[in-house]
Amino acid sequence: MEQVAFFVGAIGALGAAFAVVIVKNPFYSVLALVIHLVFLAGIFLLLMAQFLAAALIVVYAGAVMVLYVFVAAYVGGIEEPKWDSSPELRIVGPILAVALFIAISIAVLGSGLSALGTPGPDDVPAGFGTPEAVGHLMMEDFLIAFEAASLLLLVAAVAAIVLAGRRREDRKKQLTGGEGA
Amino acid sequence: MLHQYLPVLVFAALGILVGGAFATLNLVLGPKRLKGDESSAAIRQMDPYECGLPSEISKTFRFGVSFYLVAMLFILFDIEVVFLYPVGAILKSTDSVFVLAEVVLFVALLFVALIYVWRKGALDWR
Amino acid sequence: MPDLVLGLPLADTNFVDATWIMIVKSLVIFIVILSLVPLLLLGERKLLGRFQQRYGPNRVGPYGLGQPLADVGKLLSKQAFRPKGAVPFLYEIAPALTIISAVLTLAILPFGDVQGDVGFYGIDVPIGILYFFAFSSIAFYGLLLGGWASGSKYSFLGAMRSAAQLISYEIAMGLSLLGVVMMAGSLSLVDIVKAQGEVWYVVPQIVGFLIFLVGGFAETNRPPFDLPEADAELVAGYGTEYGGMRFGSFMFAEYMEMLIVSGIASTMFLGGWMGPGPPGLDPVWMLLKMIVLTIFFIWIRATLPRFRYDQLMSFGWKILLPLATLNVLVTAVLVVVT
Repeated sequence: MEQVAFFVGAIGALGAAFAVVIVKNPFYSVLALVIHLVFLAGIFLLLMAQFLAAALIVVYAGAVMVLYVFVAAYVGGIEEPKWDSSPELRIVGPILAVALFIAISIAVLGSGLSALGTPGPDDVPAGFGTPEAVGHLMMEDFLIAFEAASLLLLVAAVAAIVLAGRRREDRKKQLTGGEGA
Repeated sequence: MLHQYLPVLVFAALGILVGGAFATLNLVLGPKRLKGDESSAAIRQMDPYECGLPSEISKTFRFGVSFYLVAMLFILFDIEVVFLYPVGAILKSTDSVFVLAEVVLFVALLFVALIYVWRKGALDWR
Repeated sequence: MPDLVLGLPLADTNFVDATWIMIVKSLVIFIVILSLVPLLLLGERKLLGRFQQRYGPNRVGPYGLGQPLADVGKLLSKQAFRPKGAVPFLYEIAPALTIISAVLTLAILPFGDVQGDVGFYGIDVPIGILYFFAFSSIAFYGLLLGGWASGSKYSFLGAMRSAAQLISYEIAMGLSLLGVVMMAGSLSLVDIVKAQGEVWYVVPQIVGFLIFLVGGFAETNRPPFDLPEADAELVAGYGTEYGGMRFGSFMFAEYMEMLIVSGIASTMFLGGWMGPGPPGLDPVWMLLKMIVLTIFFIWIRATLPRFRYDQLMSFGWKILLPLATLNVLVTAVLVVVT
């Protein structure tokens, strides 16, 4: 049963992730990413990371993707697919992708893949992955990270305002430049 | 432990059944479109709804920046809420002033963020 | 790490009933709610009629009881069509998506405690209320896709509006429930109901309750927050290009979500299944509270005019959000100090 669930989740997550890259319309990419996140949450659940699974859906599918959707709609890809084919990106993109792949491979192989071939721990401690357990970890082991997160969010709020202000000015210029009618 | 999530699958199956049925039943039960029906009514039927003068959805159809701002701010505060839930759940059982101070500091910092965006006028819809 | 995790109170979320019981109880919950929806549709029209000094539907069957059947029959007999600019597949899948996420959310509503071998709920999991938020964020994509894939500007505008509206009220909603979570010390809905043995949380958390209700109106696109489908300006919002049972799906999901929000509100604030009488009556009490709250939704519809869009946004961000934040702070202090 769990194997079946894992393979369904893994195939779904991988397939959706590929779709994100392959699909040409940005709006479809975002949708594929949402599907990917849902499957990923399922895999988290299989790993008993219940809180993480819920947080993944609420924050990523529910919040970050909303912004992406707005941006995709802003770019205006309703009818025609927008495919940024500037030559620089065509070269830089694959290089960065390969670099990322190598970096991740080093990290994965560096762990020695010691868990491969073993059945995994049988005795997951009671309450593992519950919000309560995560809460204890946040308050004890990762206190600084927790507070740093709130500071980071504050900085992000400032950044959002600055970015939006710049866009607003651009828009104003566009409108006064005679384009808006 | 995972077993307790099993009803989710049952509900998912029921939802897909009902949702799928609702989405397709009209194809089966409803009247069929006649092949080669080139009457004006049959063509007009496929037009999107319009009121007043006909207009195209312009290719540069854009939304105000408020939408992005709201979405960005939403991410910030959504993360705040998700962070606060696990801590809020243990607040009572730990019953320590230290944890309380952490929570208050966390919320206060984001309250500052809220006041900042408010003062900057980002919460005014335009 | 294990020693601190082990000390947690996890007794009841570990109860697991037999597989066949799980399947049967899921079916029962689903069928009960499913059959409530058409009744609710009729009830709303009847009540609205009374509020406006008219009879409401009374032609089909005694007291108009056959009206929901007639409505469904009418919707089913419509031609399935897809407008010219619509995106194939996505256009069809959007209404189904709203229904699927609404049905999935049903699983979290508790209708009673564990009695004998059966827990009177779909699931009782440690993430509890987060499950509700997770699926309400999935439901969002149903509306958005519906509006986007229709290829009509009214639909698209409605979808964008509803998107901005939903996210603006979701934070206040999340924070309003946080006070309850802090007082109960758990996210599991069953535990939260049990923690209300002495006093229902509507008393100490009255601010949270009101914020949650307002947020619930906004999340379900009910008047006075029905701007996504404001019929005076946007025709029918994201549902403009839909007809037949696909249109019915959006309506159906809306009513189901109304029941779910009522259910969450009764669970978190109104003592859930608690009420006088033997434990066997628990599900009845829960359903009763849900229906009473839903009637309140209808009552509000008949009473209040629609918000203007900028009013709606600033109400969510400038009033509800600060209020909810303060509520969280005060509750946190009170929980630790007392």
